[in-house]
Amino acid sequence: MTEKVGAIGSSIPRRGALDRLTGASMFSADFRLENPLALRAVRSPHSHARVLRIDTEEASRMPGVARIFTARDIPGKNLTGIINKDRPLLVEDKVRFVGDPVALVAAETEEAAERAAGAVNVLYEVLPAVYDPADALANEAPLIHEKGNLLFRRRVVRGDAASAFSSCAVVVEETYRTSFLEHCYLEPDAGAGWVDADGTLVIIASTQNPHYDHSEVAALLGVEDGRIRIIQAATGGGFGSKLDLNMQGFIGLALYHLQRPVRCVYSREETFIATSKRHALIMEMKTGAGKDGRLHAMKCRILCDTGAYGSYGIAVASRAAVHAGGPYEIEHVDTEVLCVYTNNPVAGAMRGFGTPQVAFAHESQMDLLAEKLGMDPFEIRRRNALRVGSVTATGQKLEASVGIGECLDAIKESYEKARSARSDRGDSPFTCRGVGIGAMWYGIGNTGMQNPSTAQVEIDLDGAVTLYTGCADIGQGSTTVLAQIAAGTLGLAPDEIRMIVADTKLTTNAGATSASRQTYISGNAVRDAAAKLVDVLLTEAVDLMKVPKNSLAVEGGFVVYKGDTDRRIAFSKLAARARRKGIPLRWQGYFDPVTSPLNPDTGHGEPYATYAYACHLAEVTVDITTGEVTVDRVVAAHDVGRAIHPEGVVGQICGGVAMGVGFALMEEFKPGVTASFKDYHIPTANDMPEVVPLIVESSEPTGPFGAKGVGEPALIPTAPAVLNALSDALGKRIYHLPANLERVLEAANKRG
Amino acid sequence: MLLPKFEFHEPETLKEAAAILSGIGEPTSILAGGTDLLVNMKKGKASPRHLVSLGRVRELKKTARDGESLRIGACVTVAELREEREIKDDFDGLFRGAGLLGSPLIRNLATVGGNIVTARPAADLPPPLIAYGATIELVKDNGERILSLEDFIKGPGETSIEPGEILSGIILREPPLYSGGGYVKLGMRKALEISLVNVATFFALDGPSGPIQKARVVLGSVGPTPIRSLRAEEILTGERPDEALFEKAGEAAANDAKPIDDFRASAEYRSEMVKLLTRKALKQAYEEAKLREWRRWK
Repeated sequence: MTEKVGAIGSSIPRRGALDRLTGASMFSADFRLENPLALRAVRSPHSHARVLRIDTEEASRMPGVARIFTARDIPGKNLTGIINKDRPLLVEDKVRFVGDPVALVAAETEEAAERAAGAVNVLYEVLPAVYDPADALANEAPLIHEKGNLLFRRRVVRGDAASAFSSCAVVVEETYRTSFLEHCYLEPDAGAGWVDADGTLVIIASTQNPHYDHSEVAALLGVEDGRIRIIQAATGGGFGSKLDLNMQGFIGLALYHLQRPVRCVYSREETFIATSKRHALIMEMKTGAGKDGRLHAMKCRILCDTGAYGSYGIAVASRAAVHAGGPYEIEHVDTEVLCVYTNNPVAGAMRGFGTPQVAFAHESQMDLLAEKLGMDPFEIRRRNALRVGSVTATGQKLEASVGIGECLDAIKESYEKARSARSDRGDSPFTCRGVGIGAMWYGIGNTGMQNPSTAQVEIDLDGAVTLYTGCADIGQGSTTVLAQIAAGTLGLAPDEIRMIVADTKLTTNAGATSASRQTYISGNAVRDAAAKLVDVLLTEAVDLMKVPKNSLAVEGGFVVYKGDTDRRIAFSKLAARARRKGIPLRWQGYFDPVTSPLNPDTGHGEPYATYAYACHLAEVTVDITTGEVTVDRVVAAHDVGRAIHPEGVVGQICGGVAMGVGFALMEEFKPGVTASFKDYHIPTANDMPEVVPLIVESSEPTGPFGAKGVGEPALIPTAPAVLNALSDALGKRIYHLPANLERVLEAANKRG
Repeated sequence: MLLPKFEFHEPETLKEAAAILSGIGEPTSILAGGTDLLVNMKKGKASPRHLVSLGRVRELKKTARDGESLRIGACVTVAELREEREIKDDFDGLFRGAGLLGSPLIRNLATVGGNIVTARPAADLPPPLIAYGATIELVKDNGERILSLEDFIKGPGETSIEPGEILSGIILREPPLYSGGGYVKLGMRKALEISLVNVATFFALDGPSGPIQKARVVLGSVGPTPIRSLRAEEILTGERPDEALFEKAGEAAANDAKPIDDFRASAEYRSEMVKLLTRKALKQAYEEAKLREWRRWK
């Protein structure tokens, strides 16, 4: 297919940017409804307790209260979860974390709802709780779910690691820990809803996955599919947390019973207590290499604390296992990840699904090996980097688009300059400088399972093209990118494509905005739909122009004869002709990346159809008297296959670096302590380094115009690079994130 | 997270404000910048029946020279404070403190008086103000009193303000020729941060190179109120300023600090940081003293 110059690879103004700037965008909390009821959940103050009685009588009689719901009011199946269904919308028998909802108040005003929520009397019998994943696996541990506290185990085994270690010249073995993190999206969770004249329950939501919300709400209410409609409102970020059902179920329940407009808007404090966190991981890693620096063996044991409910825990565990070795060839691998329930807050999806955590570990190991071998950290990575033809730990042979080597080469010059600059300068006795590299690989899409996307492209009789996609744009820019892909396929300008986005009544399922999958997977579905339409137009043109199809192209709303571009026929004319023949003008595209499921015992399989690669170079200055760290500069090279919208890629990289700096140095959600931004630090503009984004394009043959994804990869290498730079500066390594003031100072004090 | 209901009063003069306050028999709060009060009201930590806003009281928004003193109106915002010529020239420690408080958004709302009466142990302005020997004016319906800021703050959120009283102004005496002040704050990130430790210093020298005639060292976030380190001050007094002396003073300051362990930092770390920050803040004060002298010559 020909490629429209200008549509692909150009940083056109983002769809909806002006609306965002002028405040015209409608976020969920902005919808003006007629007389809406306010919803407020009653949440558990205990982390593990049996619910003996819920007394709503007094609260129900309070002024302005319309109704108070409990689990008994849920007409369908009171269990939710995208992978494993273990989480009730409203708790029936016992609460499993502080914040578990037990009742839902609907009232005329926010004040009345808040007051009544405080007046609902719940009688609890407090149960012993467990907060440490290792303790949760002990025989005598309190059972959080009846099936036991081990939710999932993922093994990935290749070769014979145990015996391979004995032939290694150097072996390093360390334990790494990370903390729970809060996503801190700009817009706290919110939704609203009403009942349409035909009885449809319409739910507006801040969400990353409207079609999942749809099926979940229908199941909760026990209604047929057509009675629910989910519309994604303008969404102010998600980072994984808005993949769970947060307020959508509450809205559905209230609409079902009350048939009145409702709204449900979380405060920041409620998002902190109620929504998912990044998994805290404990990672024991043993890695061995030969004298030449080639990696031979890795053994890895990971405990993954998924908190009270599964959410995306299984996906995080699986992905952590597959990615544990990093973007390197390792012949002998023995990895096991256990995903464990505790009474901590629910840990779910967060940008990277466990890969940011394992990247911290495998990149620290690489530097430790280099140090033992007297080898440069750059060199050991370059030597082991995956390449076309490499076989991964799951036994997958990489066929194309393996850009890690190119990414490393892209930062090489900056790395060498930074290294010599840092040793030249000995400015102050109280500060020291360091340089570090972090590398990563990231499988695009869900791990070893089907995760298709669909899209529809329609041409009307005027020749105007509309793209229907279920893909939720949560700020990352997918709407713009998908318009570019449609335009690029149809030979139009991107702003000529009308977009209908993320409305379950009007659009088909595009799957979740997660796993960095939308450009690659939904992009391909859009391309498929557009290509089908192009084929119809070309077929009609062949009929009229009497030339072979392969001599024709689409351009500017015309089918053009390549031999003589003056010979052209307008899309509108061709569309009308097709219509007369009864040929459909709306075509559905489909794409499901070719993967194979992972063997439950060995982890063998092809978990992803393609991988993104990246490496970051971080330069830091450490105040060795206080432990303060300044990240001066991050050079970030990302293999995205093809940058459909380069500014969008740069934006993702800069945002990812910010998140990575937070993960490295300051962010930590302490269950039971952290309540709001007052006690949760994310980097401010003053904490941001200079970011130098480098886009590497190692084209992916199966990608739309060669594209892969960058959403999560953007964040992953930053923390490893910063931690390696810290260790370069201090001569001492930190194994526990965040590397906060005290940990850095302790490392500084321990150095020789 | 909604504000509870309250009566709102908006007097235009201090006198009127004091009269309203004395006339209300119910729980009342004074609203200045609101950056602390409104947050606490939303959280349900404060639920006054009446709010008396000082937003329209013009006389509280002025900074004026009065002979050898500088009088800062209680409702001067932190951002405005940083714009005052005198603060920039003569009160460097305070100038620094004001620049490190919160974020630009907060500095545009928060007032100098508010940062004092809320009496947060980690507040940015009280330590430098105490280091400069600030006194404050309290006004009520039938009179006023003046007391030293140091004696005013009693504990976290506690002051010796009496019902009906309004903090109206802060008075700073112009520092002597050979003198300087410093302020150093440590937090987890570079802005919008509550101090883990903050230290303010001030000293006056006998002549261009000393000895130190009078010194004040004030420690924040390591006790229920800002703490004057009398041991550090004693060590400094009568000595010529230099790095070794500052180090000794830092160690003495750590002995006067009463840091606690909490989720943000350990007591041990805080104690170490008191030493270090005191040293840094004293060094700043010395640099400032030299600079002010030079400025006079110019």
